[in-house]
Amino acid sequence: MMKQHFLFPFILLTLLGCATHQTNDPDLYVSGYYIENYNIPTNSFLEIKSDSLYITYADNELSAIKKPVNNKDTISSKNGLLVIQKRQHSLFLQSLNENKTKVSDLTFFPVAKTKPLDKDKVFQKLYNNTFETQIDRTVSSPNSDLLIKKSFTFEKDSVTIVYTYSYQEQLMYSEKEKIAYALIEKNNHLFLEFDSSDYPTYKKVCQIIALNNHSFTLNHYRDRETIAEKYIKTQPKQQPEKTFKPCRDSRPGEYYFNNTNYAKGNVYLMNKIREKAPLTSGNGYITIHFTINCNKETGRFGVEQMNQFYEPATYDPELIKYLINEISLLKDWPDLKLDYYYQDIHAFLMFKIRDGKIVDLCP
Amino acid sequence: MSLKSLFILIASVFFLSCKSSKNENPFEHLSSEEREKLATFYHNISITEHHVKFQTGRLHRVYKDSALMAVPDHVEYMQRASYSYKKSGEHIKAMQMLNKAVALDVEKNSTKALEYKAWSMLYFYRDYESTIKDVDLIEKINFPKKYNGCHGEPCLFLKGQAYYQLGEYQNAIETFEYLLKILEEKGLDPKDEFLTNFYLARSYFKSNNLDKSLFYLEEQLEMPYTVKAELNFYAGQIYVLKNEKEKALQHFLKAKELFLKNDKIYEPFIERFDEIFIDDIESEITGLN
Repeated sequence: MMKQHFLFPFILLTLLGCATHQTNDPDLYVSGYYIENYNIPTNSFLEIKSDSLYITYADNELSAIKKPVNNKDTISSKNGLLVIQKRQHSLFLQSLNENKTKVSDLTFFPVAKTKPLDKDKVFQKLYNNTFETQIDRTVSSPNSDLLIKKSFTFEKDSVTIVYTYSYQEQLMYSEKEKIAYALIEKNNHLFLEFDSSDYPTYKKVCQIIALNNHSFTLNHYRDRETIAEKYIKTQPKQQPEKTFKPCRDSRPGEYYFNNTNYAKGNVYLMNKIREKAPLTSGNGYITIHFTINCNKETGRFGVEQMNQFYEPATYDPELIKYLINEISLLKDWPDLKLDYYYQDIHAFLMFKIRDGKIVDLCP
Repeated sequence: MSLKSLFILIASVFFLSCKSSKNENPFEHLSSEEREKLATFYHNISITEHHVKFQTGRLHRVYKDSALMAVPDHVEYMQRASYSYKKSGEHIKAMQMLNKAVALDVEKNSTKALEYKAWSMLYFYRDYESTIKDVDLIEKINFPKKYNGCHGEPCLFLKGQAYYQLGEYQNAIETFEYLLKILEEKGLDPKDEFLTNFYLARSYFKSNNLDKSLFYLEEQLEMPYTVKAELNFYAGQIYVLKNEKEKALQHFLKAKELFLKNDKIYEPFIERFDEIFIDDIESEITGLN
């Protein structure tokens, strides 16, 4: 009898433990992004019905295609071919032209099964309230050393997003942006749609997967992954003066794609910045990451500090704060040669520190 | 042992085995030939579907990591995986990978990874002492070979620039002149080495040998494929010091004209030493008036 008691949970554990991924396929997918190498947000849905897939595009155009039979299937369409590929956590849809060259791609993610959420009640919980979460880095700038908090304060049709950057429990910098948002209901699921990009169909859609009086959790999508972010209700704080909005809520270009070097050169920049720079101690490097948008404004900061042996290190918070704020004031960026796919640039300035002083600037 | 304790023990072993299986190399059971094949496959995806324009992206990194999971000690793949982090300014990770690639490579008496490191040390980290140390080690390993290339540039050219940046101008001059001599011995025309001659001229300038500096600048001005804005600018500075203001002005005006036509030193990834900018030229012109 005791043996049976022991064996039953053990068998159950064995069956459930490593095999939880073997679930039924979902019937509703949300578009994470368009052109996966750029992660351009777009607001489309894909529904699986008996023998067809229905895609509702951002402009409300409905397209029906036959249900694929394999994990990777090619389907004829009006202007060429569609290849649909089932991946581990997503559906990948590529459109090819008549020469079988890829025109574009779209990645869909399964909509999570949640308790039904009432749109009006959700709005009431969000409206006039502030919710905050901690993130490792922003979409556009790498970071290892700053503690970054992101908050949403909802109004009727718009949301103010604030980023605060702290280091060693001191506030280094903060910035805000205000964008339009909408609550969207689809097959009893609720989504937040952010008008965060430069083009009407490049809206970011995140699924609300949980909500109560104190918090809500959003699923968003990046690089073939679904990322859950839990936002906790907090007291509204004084909003920062600085405003920064990337021109497109997607992966930015890198500084070396086109000439984005500072128009007056590194020597000018180093001399200007180090003139009033607070002293620190040690030898190594401080890298300040940032994003330059299509209006040549800077924001979305990140920091990485290392010693002369290229290992993690720490420097005086006063210096870090000073460097970030100095970079936020720089104006003489060259005209950015942006293309169809990216509208912002990720750049970084790496300050070389010798005996606590800035002695060089790279790259 | 009670059954309850036994159950807890077995359950713990079960969970740990589930967990550790995730950390194991999934390619462990493959032969080295199969691993090599798989690594090539992943590497090729990283450089085609997620190629250089997306080199700093996560997907490029995932394929690079997968290749390295199949062949963990592959020097070239490890070195090339570090590019992604270096280009995005995530230098701790970049250097961890590069240092590992160098250690594996040098162990085999090969200097390929070290050559790239010397180049990176100079231009990306402005770590001049390390540049010199790395070039010295390359020369030692490859002895008696006189000419060594470092990621597309002569290693001695990097070493000369490192001395120049450290203010050791005599060492810089000797290094550049030795490099030009080696090139001549190889049957090449030393005057074709624009950048070596340019920094040789700059080293003479910093050593207060204005005539020698001007000689190399003017010689390069006569060459067909050199970058002319910087040559004119620094020649102009020498004429200022020689109190020949009219000649200086002509050179500065020419430098400005050429700068505006983009006939200037330019590298997409880095700013070269002594590269000039429009404000530098304007300031010299204003200074003459």
